[in-house]
Amino acid sequence: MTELSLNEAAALARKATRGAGYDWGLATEAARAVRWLAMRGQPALDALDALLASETAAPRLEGDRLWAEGPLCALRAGAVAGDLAALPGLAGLRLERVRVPLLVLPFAAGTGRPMRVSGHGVAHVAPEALHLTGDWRGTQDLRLAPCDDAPAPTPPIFRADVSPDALTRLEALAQRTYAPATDASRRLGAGE
Amino acid sequence: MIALRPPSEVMRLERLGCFHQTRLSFMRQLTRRMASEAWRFARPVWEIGTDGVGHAVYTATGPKRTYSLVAFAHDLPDEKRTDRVIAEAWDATFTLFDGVPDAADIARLARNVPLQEAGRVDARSLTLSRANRSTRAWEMVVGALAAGRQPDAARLAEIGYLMRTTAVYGSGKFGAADRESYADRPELAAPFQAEMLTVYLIRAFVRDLAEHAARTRNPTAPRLHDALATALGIGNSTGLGMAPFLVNHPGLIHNWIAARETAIARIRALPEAAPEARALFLDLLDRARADLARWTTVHPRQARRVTQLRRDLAWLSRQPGLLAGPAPWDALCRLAARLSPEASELIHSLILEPYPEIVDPLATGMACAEDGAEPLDAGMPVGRLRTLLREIYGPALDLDWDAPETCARLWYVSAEKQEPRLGERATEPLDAWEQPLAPARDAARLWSVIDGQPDDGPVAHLLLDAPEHRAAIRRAQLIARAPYGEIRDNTLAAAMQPIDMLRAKLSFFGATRFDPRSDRWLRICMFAGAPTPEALTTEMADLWVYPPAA
Repeated sequence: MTELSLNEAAALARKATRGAGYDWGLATEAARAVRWLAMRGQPALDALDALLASETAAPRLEGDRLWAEGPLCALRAGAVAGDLAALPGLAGLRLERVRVPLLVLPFAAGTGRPMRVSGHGVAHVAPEALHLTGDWRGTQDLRLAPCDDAPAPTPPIFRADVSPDALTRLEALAQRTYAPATDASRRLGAGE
Repeated sequence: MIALRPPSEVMRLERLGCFHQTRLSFMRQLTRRMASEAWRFARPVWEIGTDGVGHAVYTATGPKRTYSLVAFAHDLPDEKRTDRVIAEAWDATFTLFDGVPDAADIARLARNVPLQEAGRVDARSLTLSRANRSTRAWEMVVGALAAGRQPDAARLAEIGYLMRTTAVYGSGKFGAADRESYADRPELAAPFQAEMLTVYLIRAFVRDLAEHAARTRNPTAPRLHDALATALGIGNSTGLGMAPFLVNHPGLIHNWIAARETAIARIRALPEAAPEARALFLDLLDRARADLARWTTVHPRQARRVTQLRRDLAWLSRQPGLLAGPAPWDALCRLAARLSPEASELIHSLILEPYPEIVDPLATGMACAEDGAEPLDAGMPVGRLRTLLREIYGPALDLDWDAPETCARLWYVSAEKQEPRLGERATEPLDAWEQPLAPARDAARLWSVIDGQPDDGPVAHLLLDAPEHRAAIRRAQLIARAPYGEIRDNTLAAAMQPIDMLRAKLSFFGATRFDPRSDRWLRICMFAGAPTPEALTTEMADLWVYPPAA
């Protein structure tokens, strides 16, 4: 494993997500999500790598159900689910076939109230807390619902581990955000 | 009560590009704290050979902790010295180590710190930095000392420093500790304290290194006189890499500017000024005027501004009954508002000086713990969002953002250097790599999407259909709480001068003698006039930034 600072992890996540074709806004959400998960000891960059390597789709909303023809993108579905869960009166949401469900948890944590997310495992989240059991990899159906009891804050970790292979792939995606040099940019870009 | 100056006035690029340091500046916060807490300084390691190569350790010990500058001296050949952030070798390289390094730490740092971006540090390093000599000033000092005399003070003051840094990286860069991992320590709670401490200790090292070089030539060479060493700062070259910071950290920037504006409003609201306060202001005004002689720049726009500043301050100091009437600071600011922005902003900074008890407590609000992590308010009604956008972005919402003159420029990062650059949209095919550094344009695009949407629907529903506007919605919500966080100008305009953004940030560091070298990079001076570590006392800790008028 390679150890990065949180800022390095977040910056890499933002660039890699953008490089994978997402807009800058969602790329910034990915950076926030990676930072939040890494601070709670989760393999955040490896999860992002798994997501960006997959074909996924944006969610559609029908009643309390978020779904798509193919597997759901955890970033897109997470952002929508987090928004909807923050609205008053929401009882719960079902997210169908979410790719890399770990990446949904930071969005559930950002809703301003404690949430319980269940799939193959169970996660109890709040802005500064993550308690989880079970497996959060692969593709899973999730249920997300507010809960009354606030989980105890998780002591933050200020480093992010990433596997060498995931790091290589994420860096290759990040490279796509850099413009190839031209003579004009060499001459003018930094104002010599 | 005096109202704060509105963001529509303060957050214009032309005004931001005229900001000056204040008592709230991060360098002055550092020297005040180190003096009041009686920090101790030492140089436990000096392993530098007669070839000028080796390493040294400088320690700074506060009430609870010790920080160590680990400095590596390299003696770079002349042809390899460059101001650019991109380089592969430097005269000296540094890290600020958390604690006191042992031999194993030094050995590890020696393999990495000299490589800078190509090396790797860990969480025990708070910063990573490097510096190059000013060849002229270095020879002036080393040559004179080696000849047994002191260098010429006036000529040395023209340059102002022996070395200049080309980067002081902090907060997690290249493996260093993230700011949030140490932001709860009182001595590092204010912004950029680790970076400022790094530069302060670099300044001590650079003096020692120059004296060492002189003694190598002549073992009886004298030390550099304290007065000369005190007058010298550390130079810095800053380029486009810093400009995106202002756009990417709106919460933090708001806190900086709100602290200064709040201080200004509180001083303006004072019904009268004590004689000592008036005397101190007038003395510092004289000293600031005298210091203008040391502000040299060949940049035409800045040279004109400095000339006008001299005239404005001369005119102001001739005004009869300055500060004699009621609400004297408010009257002064009203007068200053008729002068050039350089003069006006300098006066607004200077009026804070006589009032540490009012101004200095505001420093505690200048950090921003949640910087970038502020939640999106998904329940906000679209009608409220519409009102916010109009309040914040005003006429920018009605511009034609596809018109060439509106979006003449674009920000991108080059593959070659991995540094931010500015391109010409019409002539360079760079759109695919554009960085998101035009909040006003993004707000205008959002504005066109919410046109005709019902006022009472939550933005969560809007985002279901238009997720690409997430960043613009989040930003408008943040700026509503942090109004000084948004530049009220077009960051893509053909006439936009990036140096204005750089100067605004550098002024909060406490930098002086802004010397633009183009519209995209500038040189500055840091800690010029500051007491050396051994001379740092509470009497000397604060007003050093205004050298005696002589």
